[in-house]
Amino acid sequence: MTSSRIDELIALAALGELSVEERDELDDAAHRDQAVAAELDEALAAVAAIQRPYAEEPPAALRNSVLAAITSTPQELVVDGGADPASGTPQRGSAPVVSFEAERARRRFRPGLLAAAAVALFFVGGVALVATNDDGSDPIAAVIDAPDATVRSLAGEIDGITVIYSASEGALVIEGDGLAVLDDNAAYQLWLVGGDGATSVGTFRPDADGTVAQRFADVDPIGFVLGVTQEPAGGSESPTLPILASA
Amino acid sequence: MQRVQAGDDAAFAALYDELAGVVFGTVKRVLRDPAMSEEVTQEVFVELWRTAARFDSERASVSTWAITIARRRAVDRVRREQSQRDRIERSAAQRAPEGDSTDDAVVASIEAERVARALAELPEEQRVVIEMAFIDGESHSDIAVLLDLPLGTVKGRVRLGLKKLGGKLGATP
Repeated sequence: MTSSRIDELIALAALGELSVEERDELDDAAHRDQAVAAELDEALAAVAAIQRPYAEEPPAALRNSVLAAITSTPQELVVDGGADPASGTPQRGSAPVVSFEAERARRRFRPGLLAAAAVALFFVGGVALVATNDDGSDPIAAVIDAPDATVRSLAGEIDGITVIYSASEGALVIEGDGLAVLDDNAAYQLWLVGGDGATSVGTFRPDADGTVAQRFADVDPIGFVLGVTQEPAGGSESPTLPILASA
Repeated sequence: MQRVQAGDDAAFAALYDELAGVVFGTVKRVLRDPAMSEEVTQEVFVELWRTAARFDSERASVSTWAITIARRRAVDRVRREQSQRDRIERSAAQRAPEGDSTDDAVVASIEAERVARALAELPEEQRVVIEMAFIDGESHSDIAVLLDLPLGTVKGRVRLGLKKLGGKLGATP
């Protein structure tokens, strides 16, 4: 990237007028080159200094409104990478997830409204038996093979989990292999995390080979962060840190 | 800020008390509409709360971080809700005159004097653009129209002006 391009992007950052693509471009440059990061920081600090004398107290009622608003707003953690702290912009590829710990302490999570496994996965002697639809079709394959199926790969402490969602099926499938085998008292739990908190999708357990394939119906993950935690076998009403994988 | 990052409501309330003025002032400089400025100020604080974990004290002060988000949020609101032409018309009609009471009070502050001195040392063409952008709250495209300059020239003057100001003002906590 040329120095003139960097100057242009820093000017736009100072003006608060970066497009998403430009923000990514500048963040990439700043993370590659500390000198660029330092120039950006200095420019933003100068802007802040110019604007500080023009502080103007907002109406008093706004305080209560803001403090009420945060009670229903979960905080994010940065799983990896981090962010450009000056622009408040997450680094490309980072996976922000909700700070479950803080929210749990506040006891404001909603219960598992969406937890509904239409097809259960039974384990008998380590063999997974997948129930079928009434017409004999494979309900997991129905999601995976749906024309509108979309895939999200979760990343974090554990790898190998993929979530496939089909709006036409109104269901998602969680697939994974190479997962740690849990004892009988524990299960993984999948969560949808949005601005209103975390909602349980349901629990799942890998088989003796660390493999899982499970369908959850009546769930729409669009617009939510997906997170996986380890919980007691019956699942929890709120997530327990650490977040093992998210996307 | 560490307590806010840990989800401490009371610490966030204290942070609000510290930053509400600069955030609201920054937003209102851009939007001018008080009601809309309140809405965006709330959005800024909710974002500060939500993304508190992203704040790095080694990179910026809390107020710099908040002002940066405030400016960006305000600009986003302008983009969403106003056509450029409407914006320019309102800008021309509502820009505060020289020496109005609010600015007089502001200039009385020590920091304002420091900023004013630093701005005065800039070449005229850079000072005008910096003041229009960050005191009048204009976008660079509005400045280009108002001054009849190419967009690139406006961005270049903003960048040059901020470079010169950086050494003088950048260390403000």
